[in-house]
Amino acid sequence: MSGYRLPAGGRVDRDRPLAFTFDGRRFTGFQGDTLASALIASGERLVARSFKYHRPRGVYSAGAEEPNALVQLGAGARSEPNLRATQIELHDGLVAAAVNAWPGLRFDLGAANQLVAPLLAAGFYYKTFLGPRGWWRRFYEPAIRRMAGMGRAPTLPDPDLYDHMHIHADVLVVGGGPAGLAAARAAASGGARVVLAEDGPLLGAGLVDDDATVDGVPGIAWADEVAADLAGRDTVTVLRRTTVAGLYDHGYAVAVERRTDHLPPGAAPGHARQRLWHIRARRTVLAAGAHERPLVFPGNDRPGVMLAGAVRTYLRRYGVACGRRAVVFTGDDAAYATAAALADAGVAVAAVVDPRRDAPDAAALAARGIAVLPGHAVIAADGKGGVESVLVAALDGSGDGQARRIGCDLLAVSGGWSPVVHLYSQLRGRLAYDDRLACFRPAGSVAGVTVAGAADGRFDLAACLAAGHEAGLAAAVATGFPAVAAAPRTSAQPPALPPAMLWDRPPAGRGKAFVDLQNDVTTDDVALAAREGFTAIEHLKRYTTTGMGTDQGKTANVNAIGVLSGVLGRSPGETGTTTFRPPYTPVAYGALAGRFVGELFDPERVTPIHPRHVEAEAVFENVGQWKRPRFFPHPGEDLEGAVLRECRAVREGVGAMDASTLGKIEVRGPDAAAFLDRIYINPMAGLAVGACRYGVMCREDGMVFDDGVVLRLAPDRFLVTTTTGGAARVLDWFEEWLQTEWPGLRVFCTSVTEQWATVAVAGPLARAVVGALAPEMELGAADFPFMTFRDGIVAGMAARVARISFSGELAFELNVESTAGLALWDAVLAAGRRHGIVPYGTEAMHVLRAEKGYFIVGHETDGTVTPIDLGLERMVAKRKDFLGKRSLGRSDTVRTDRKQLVALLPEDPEELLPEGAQLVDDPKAPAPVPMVGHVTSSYRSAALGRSFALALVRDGRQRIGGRVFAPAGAHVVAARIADPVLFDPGGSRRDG
Amino acid sequence: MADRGTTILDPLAAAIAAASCEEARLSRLPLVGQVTLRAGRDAVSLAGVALDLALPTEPNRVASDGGRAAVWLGPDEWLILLPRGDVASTVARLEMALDGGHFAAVDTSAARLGLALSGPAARQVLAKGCGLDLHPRAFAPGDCAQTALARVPVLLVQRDEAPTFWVFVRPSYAVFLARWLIDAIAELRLAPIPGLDT
Repeated sequence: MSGYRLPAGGRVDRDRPLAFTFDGRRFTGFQGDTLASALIASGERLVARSFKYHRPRGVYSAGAEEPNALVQLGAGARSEPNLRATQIELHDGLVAAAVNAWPGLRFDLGAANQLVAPLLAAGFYYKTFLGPRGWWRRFYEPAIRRMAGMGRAPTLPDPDLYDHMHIHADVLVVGGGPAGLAAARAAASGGARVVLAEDGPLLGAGLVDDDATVDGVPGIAWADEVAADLAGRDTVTVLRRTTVAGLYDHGYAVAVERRTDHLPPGAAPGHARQRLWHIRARRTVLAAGAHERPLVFPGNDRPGVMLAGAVRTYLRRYGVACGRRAVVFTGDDAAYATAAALADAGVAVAAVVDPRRDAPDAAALAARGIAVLPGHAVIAADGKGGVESVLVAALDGSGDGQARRIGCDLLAVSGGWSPVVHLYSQLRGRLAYDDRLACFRPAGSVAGVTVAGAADGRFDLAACLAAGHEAGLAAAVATGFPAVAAAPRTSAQPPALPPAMLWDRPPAGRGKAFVDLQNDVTTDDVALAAREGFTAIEHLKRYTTTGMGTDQGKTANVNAIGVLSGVLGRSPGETGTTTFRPPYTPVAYGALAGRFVGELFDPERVTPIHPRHVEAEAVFENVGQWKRPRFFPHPGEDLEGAVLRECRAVREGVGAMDASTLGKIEVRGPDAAAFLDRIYINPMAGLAVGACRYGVMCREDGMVFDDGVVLRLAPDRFLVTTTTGGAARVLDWFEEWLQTEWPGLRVFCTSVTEQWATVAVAGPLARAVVGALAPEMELGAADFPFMTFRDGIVAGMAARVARISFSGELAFELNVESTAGLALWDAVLAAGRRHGIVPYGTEAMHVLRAEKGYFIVGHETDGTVTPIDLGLERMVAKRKDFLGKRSLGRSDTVRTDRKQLVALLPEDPEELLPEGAQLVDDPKAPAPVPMVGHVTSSYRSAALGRSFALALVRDGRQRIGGRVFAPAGAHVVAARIADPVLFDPGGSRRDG
Repeated sequence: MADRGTTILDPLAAAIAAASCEEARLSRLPLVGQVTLRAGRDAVSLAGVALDLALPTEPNRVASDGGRAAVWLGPDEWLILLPRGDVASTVARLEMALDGGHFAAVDTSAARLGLALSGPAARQVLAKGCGLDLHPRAFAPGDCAQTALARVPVLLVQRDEAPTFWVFVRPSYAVFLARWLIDAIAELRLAPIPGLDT
C-alpha cells in the first residue's frame, strides 16, 4: 500500500462516495475521481500487466497518454477493451478488470514470459517466420495470440445507442486548457461561431495544478469565469468529454463526445452513449497541450514510477497522494513544483535528482527541507512488485563514485514535454526537432490552422495564455469578426532552464530500461534493431513495435527517437519522427456507425407497391438499394418450387411483376434524336412516334454499359428506360456528354423513374387481363403490335401501356403515376384472378429471360464484354457514329475468338452449374488448367424441363455442340454448348 | 386523373404524428403538383412570363408567390411547386411559350414526396444527418439546397424562421427517411443527461 487519499483538497465530492469493482475486488472512490485516481487512493499500485513480458505495472500518467493502465470496462454486451483508467470517470457500480493477466493480476501465468525474455527481443515475431515451415500456423501464432495482447472484444451486440451530429463554426478550438480557453474566449468575443472541444469533463482543469493567478484570481477561478462566459453565448458550442480524433483538409474535424460514460450503464435510456461530431470550421486553433515524457533507466516501468506532472495532478485535482515517500527525478523545471506540492501535502520527499549540473533555483525546495542533487541521475529503480528504492549516482562519477540507495515508494519522473502534435501531423503539417526544448514542434504552416500554447512547445502558463489569445483573435479577424477581448494577465513565471535528456548516455544500471511501456520495447531492443540495420525511424517502429498499440507511443516516441539517435551518434532532428494518423485515441465502432445500424443500416428503396409484397410474404433481394421481391413462396414452398411455379404461370397462363424500379429518363429537345443516336449502338433517330426500340449503350471503350427500351413520345421527346441499378449512372453519363462534350446539342434530360409505377403483365392470357382493365383500348396484335405503346385509361387511371417483353411471352407494361401504383397492382391482380394470375419475382424474371437468351447487364457483362460478344452484331449501326464505335474496331475487340455468350446444357439435366464457375476444356489437364470461360447465370427451367446456364465461352459460337467442363464442388460437371436462345427462337409467342 | 393517390408514407401517418413534439414537429406535406423545368438561357425569362412567376437565378433560392414556388435546382433547372390541378395547364402554357426553344417541362408531381419539419430543434434534428450549414447566418427562409439527409438525396427548402423546413424526397426513400427522422426526434422528448450541459 502506498497511495492514499489526502484529508482535504481536490475537485472531488467527498460527500458522494462511489462503490466500484476492479479485478473482482470492491473499492470506494468519490464523485469526480477517475478510475485511476480512485485506485491510487485505495493504495493499488499494481493495475496492469505488460503486453509482452507480463511485468507488473501501475498507473503512469493522468490522461490520454497512459501506456499502462488499460482496463476491460463493463461486463457482458457492454464490455469494452483497452480503455485508459486515467480517463474513465468513476461512477457508482463501475466494473473493470486488467486486460492482459490470467488468471489474475497478482498471480499472472504470463509473467513466466519474463524467464524467456531473451527469446522475445525486438523482431522475434518476424524471426518466427523463418521456420521451421509450418510452425507459424501450428505453434507460434496460437502461442503469441494467447500470451500477448490486450482486452477482449465483446461478442454480443452493443446495447447502447450512438449518433452523429454535424456542426459548422468560424473557429474550432481543440483543447480546453489555458491556451484553448484564451483562444475560445478571444475568438468568441467578437461574435464568431466557436466550437471548443475538451477531452476531459472540465474546462481548464489543469490550472488547479498551478499556483499562479490569471487576471487577478486563481487560475481555476479564471477558467470557471471563461467557461461561464462561453456558456452564455449562443454562438459558442462547448463540447466537454470530447476528443478530436481526426483533423482533415479544409477544416474538417471528427470528434467523439462521451455523453453518458460518466454515468452507470443504462442511466440515460434512449440517449446516445457517444456522439460523433462532424465539425467543419473556417479556422482551427490547436491547443491540445503537451505530454510529459518518461526518463529511460533500468526499472523505469515499476509500479510507483510515474510522470511528475501526473503526480501533481493527482494531488491537486483528486486529493490523492501517489506515495508516502517520494524521489523526484527530473531533467525539467516543471517537476520542482511537484516536489513542493508533495511536501506541502505531507508526503516525504527524499530527494530531487536532476541530471542538469546547473539545477534551477531551488529556494522553494530548500525552504521545505528538500535536497536537490544536481548532476545526478537515477540509475535503477528496484523493488518487488513496485518501487522500494532507487539507486542514484553522479553522472560524472564525482563524489565517492558510489551509487547511493534511497528508499522510496514513489518515483516522479520528468524528461521534458512532447507537444501534442498529432492533429497537426495528421494534416501533413511538418514537424521539426527543437534542440533547446528537446521535442518535435510544428514547423511550416497548414492553411487555416494555428497551433498555440504547449502544443507549439510553449510550456509555461504565461506563454500559453498569450499564444492562445492571439490565435483566437487572429482566427476571429480572419473570419470577419472584430477583436474585442483583452489578453489575460498572469503571475506565472517562465521556466529558467531548458530540459536535459540522457539519451546519449543512458544510466548504466542492471535490468530492462523501457522506451515504450505499452509495447515492452527496451533500450536493448532499440540497439538490437539499429545493429540489424533498422536505423530509419519508420523501420525501427515496425521492427520493434515502438509507438504502436492503443497509445500510439504518446509517451514513447520521442524517447525511442532519442535513444536510437544516441546509439547512432546523431541528433534526434536527423533521425526525424514518424507521422501520425487518425484517430488520436481509439474510437468505438459504434460511434463510427452512429444510427446507421439495424433498421437504419443503409437507405432502402421500395416501390409504391411494396406494402403488398410484404403482405404477400415475398422474399426480397437487394438490387442496389432497392428491395425487390425475389419470389412469392406459397406455404411450404422453397425457392426452386416457387420459381418453377411462377415461370410456368407466365409461360402457360399469366403473371404480374412489379417493374417500377427500372430507370426512366425523359430526353427532350430539338436534338434529342441526334443525341440518342450518339448514345446507343443502334439507330434511334428513325424510331416512329408511338413505337419502342430496344437499345444498348457502350462506354468509349466499346464495352456494354447499360441497356433498355426507348419510347418515342413525340418528335422531340423520348422516354429512355435503363436497368434498375444503372438509372443514376446513365443519367450522369447523359449529363456528362451534354455538358462537357456536346454543349451544342439542345437536349434536356429529366429523371422520371419515380414518377411512374410499372406493372408487367406477361403470358398467353395477358391480353385478356389487360382487356378487362382497359376496355376502350384496342389490344389486338394488328392494332397494338409488339414494340409500340399507347396512352389510355387502365382501371380508371391515366396510363401508358407498352408492348414490351422481357420474358418472351405476350406482355404489356402498364405505367401509371407512382401514387396510383398500389391501386394498379390491386386492379391487375383482381382482373387476373379468373385467369389464375400469379405474381412473380425477379428470380422467375431471370429464368424467363435466360431461356430466351436475353443478357442482363452485370450478370452476363462485367465491363469487358462488347455487344458483338453478346451476339448483337446485327444491332451495331454501320452508318452512324456512336460512343464506343471506334473501340469496336480495335484489333482486340474484332478478334473472333473472344469470350462469347452461349447457353450451356449440363449433360445431366438435373445438375445445376454453379454461377461463376470457370470452364475448362480438359478437366484432367495439369495445373494451371487453361480457362476457356465462365458461367454467368444458371437455372432450372420449367419450360425446358431441365437445367441450363448462360456462359461466356472463348470462341463459343464456333463451338456450339461441343463440350466444356466446370468444377462444381468436389466433382466436375460436363455440359454441351448451345445457342443462347433455347425457348421459342422464332419469337412467335412474344409477337402474339 | 381521379384523386386516388396513395403514398408509401400513408402507413406511417400515426408514427409520424406520434413522433412530433414541441421542439420538432414532423408532418407529411399534402400532395403538391411538381413540374421540373429545364430551360436554356434564352428561355428563362419567357418561362417566367408564362408562369407569371420570375424564376430565381441566384443559386439555391426559392421564389414564392401565393400557392406556388419556383425552386432553383441548377443554372438551367427549377422545380415549380403548384396546386396539383394546375399542372397540366401550366405545362401546356410553358410549351406554348417556349415552343421550339431549348427547354423541357416535365410533370414530376409523383416523383417526390414532401415532409415538413418545424420547431426550435428542427436544425438540430437535421444536423444529425445533414452536412450542410443550416445556422441562421448561413441558411434562411427562401433558401434551398439539394443535399443528403441520412445518406438519402433530398431537396431542402426553408420556409420560415420557426424554422420550418420542407424535405422533398424520392418516394422510394421516403419510408427510410421518415423512420430516420422519427428516430432523430426521439431524444428531444427525453429527460436531459445528468452532468451534460451541451
